[in-house]
Amino acid sequence: MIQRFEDFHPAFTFFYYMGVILLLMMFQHPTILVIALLIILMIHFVEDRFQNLKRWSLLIILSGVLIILLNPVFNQRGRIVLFIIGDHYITLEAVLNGSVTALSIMAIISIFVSYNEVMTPNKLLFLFSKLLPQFAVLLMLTLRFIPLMRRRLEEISAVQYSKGIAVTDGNWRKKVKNGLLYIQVLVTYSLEEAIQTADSMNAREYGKGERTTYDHFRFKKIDAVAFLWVGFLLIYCVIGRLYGFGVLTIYPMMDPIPLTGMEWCLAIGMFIFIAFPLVVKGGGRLKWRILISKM
Amino acid sequence: MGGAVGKSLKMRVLQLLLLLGVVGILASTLVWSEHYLWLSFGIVILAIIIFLLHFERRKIVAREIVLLAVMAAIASVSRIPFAAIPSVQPTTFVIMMAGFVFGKESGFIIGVVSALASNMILGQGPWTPWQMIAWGLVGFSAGLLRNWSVMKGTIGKVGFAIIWGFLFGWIMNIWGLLALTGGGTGEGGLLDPQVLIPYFISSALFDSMHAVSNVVFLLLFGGVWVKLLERFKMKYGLLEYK
Repeated sequence: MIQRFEDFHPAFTFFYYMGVILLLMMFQHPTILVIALLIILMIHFVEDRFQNLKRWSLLIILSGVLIILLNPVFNQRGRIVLFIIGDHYITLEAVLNGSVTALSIMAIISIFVSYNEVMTPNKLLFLFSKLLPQFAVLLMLTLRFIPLMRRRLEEISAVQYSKGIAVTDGNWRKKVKNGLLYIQVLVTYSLEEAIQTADSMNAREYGKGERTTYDHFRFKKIDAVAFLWVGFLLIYCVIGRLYGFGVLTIYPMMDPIPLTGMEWCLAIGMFIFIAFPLVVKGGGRLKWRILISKM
Repeated sequence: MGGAVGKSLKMRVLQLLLLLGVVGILASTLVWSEHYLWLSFGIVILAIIIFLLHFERRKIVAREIVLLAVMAAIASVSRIPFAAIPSVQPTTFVIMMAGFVFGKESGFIIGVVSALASNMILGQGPWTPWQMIAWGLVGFSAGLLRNWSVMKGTIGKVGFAIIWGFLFGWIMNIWGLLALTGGGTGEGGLLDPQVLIPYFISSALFDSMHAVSNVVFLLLFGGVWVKLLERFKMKYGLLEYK
């Protein structure tokens, strides 16, 4: 069977995404972050041709531009002055400082877009159920109630509308009052109903002893291999970072921007880590070709 | 039963270890003052986990858990009728009321779950842990202060609602500022008044809208809601009325 990135065990998927975010926050260097962002964009392209990223592109670009623009406004520190507006110095250091932060935030939001796609609520609930079972039940119930409450709100507003009460008309004060009146009806309605839910849980012996469960996700050999591989890369990167590599010191004295040989070694480890979904995809393609050629 | 006691002890130890982790992170900020961004994330996430473990240790009956879920779901859904009015949402008010009536632990858990669940629908982001802790603390502090004589009166409650309107915004500002400055200190950094003051002023409009709407909700509906929730608590022998 061809392994897809989505098919890995949720624990691994979660570990991968948290690892990427950690790395993006640790390595504050423009060159490294640009390449990391490109890899993340590539992941999105391979996954769905930027379909999902498009919806978030405005937020990503806007926050990036804002951070880059605002940094030199507030920060005049630095030795290399690019230009002067009025009596305000725009320094290279300030621009770089802003770009590093902007790149890091843009990359983090972009990887979250992929996270939301791959790490479905289903998988997150599975992880919670292993670590915090009681909290997982609560979260599951809440997620189940949200669509129910929405439907009930529609019912309530239909009834209220027939009585001439609506959130759409009247002045500000009236709107707010009517809006919360809906919610109040919803509370009474739902709390009465909730007792039935609870009693039916009790009728099914909720909370009485251990239960057997069906696990949709199984930890397979390939998950263990993936964990070892990615875990090794993460430790390698963290150790390198603790030795002070992979970060551009801007203040008090700016380091030269190009990466040194050692830093490239470290950065490549990070790139391979982030590119894991691409590696999986590439491996799948290769396997497919081999299978075809064997037929 | 032996298993249950052993499990509870294990959780207690785990909680203690996590607490040490928080202290460790706090101590390391003294050395690595340039890394506030990810150190603060560590603290927020560990703090949430410590509370969740505490919740896990409590033996909870079906009626309590369903009640908590209903309140959390209502807190997240209650934004819908207000979609037309910018920066007015009763989520904070609902969580506050739940804290007043059901106590600090229930208030905290309702806040945390409603933030997490609504982001599961709207999309998670780096802001999720901050929203969880902010709304969690709204519920927690409401439960903590509910027996204080000042809080029994209207003025105390109004003050509380105003404070949380701003405090909520400020907690979210921490995340915004960390994103903006990269968590560095010094000039142009996190604590530079030249950055700090304009940022907080620009958020003040939204924060005061939040505070005003909290107060309006409280004055119009506070009394009714407390009575309503108290009635359910008593009627069904829920949480504390055992």
